[in-house]
Amino acid sequence: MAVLDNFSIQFSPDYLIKQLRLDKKKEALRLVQDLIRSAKALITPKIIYRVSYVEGRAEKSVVIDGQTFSSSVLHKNLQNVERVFPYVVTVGKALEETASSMDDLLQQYYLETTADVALGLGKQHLERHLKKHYGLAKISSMSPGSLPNWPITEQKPLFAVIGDTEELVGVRLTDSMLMLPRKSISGIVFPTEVTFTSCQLCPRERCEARKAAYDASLKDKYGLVDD
Amino acid sequence: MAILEDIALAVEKGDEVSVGELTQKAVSEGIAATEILDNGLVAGMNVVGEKFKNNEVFIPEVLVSARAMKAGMKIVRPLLAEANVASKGTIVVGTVKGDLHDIGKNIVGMLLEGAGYQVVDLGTDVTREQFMEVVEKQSAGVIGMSALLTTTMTYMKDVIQAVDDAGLRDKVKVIIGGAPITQSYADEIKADGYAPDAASAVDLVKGILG
Repeated sequence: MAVLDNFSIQFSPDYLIKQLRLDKKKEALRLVQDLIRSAKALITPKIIYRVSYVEGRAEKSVVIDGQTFSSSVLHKNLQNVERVFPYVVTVGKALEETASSMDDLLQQYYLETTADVALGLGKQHLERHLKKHYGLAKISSMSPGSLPNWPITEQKPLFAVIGDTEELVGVRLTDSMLMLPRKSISGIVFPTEVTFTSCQLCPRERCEARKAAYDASLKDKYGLVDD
Repeated sequence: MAILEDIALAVEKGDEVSVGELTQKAVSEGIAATEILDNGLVAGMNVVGEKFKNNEVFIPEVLVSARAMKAGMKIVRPLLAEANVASKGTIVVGTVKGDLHDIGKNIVGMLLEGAGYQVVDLGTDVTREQFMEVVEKQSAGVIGMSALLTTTMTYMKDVIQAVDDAGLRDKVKVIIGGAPITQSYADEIKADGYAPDAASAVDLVKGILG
């Protein structure tokens, strides 16, 4: 298992202006630069991941490092994959604590959104690291809870595979499957020939986090006819 | 009245400074605080709410407008209190036990306050006992529950059961919302309403409390 904690998050002001739906004016740039400054002072980005192996497969599940993961979508995605990379990325608790204490809901929203952007950038850092160190070409990832087919209760075996995340990067899983600090993400990165995003299988009409269009034609391929 | 339309437009545009100035001007022109609230501030917010429901604007724009509306509320609120204008009703909001997500709930609370309701926000990780204690103390007419995890949404059923057990089912309505919540889930647990977004939550409460 490896911990990456010696990297910094490089925010793009233009990207943040777009995420916060600000008009492109001087005030927006100033606001975003202030936000980035505040966020950088508050976040402590850390990543933990493990190099793991698929040990067994059943019809709608896979066994990775002794833990069973139940999902026909995950099973399908890992059909020809032997080595996978379970991970957790966090930006620590200081930013969310500061955001929660704000009276101004708009400022709270801006800071929390900046934290979400930081998490995305942290994950990109992990992906670059994995590609470089493990000779991976194309990769995709899945996270428990992104699809009904792989529910959030599957966080339990995921955290069991990764190891002592609380000790090593300060992230723990609560009984209700919430990660604390809240500004943390988890999942499994895997090599792939065709890029996959869970969003492709999600029919939710309104989601500000959507990364790819829903593709109903994929339901059959992933055995989701009854989902 | 033109000035009330101007206030509504300024709220819609999220122009905090203009909302404050125009509200003060309306007050000094002798327009009743309830008029300014309903036909200026809330009217503007209602337009934003509809746009949000239609995906024409998103959460940041709603918050910018809500902040502008707050600038006007700061001026009219003391006048409403002076005139003993009662709130339209009390709603208790909270994120259920085991869940710590709060932004959506906070937005709902803010919009409800703006619409003239008294909001008692219990925060996050709220137990059924905490909901019931405050509902009874405040004689609330509505409980608004939020959950963002499939593992915590099941607790909503426990809270509804608690309302039943207290014999308050006909007096206290329960509305629910959050990312994993659906209308069919609301029907399954016999909630009185499901709000897919914050603006819809306000509509639901209006339908219940008036």
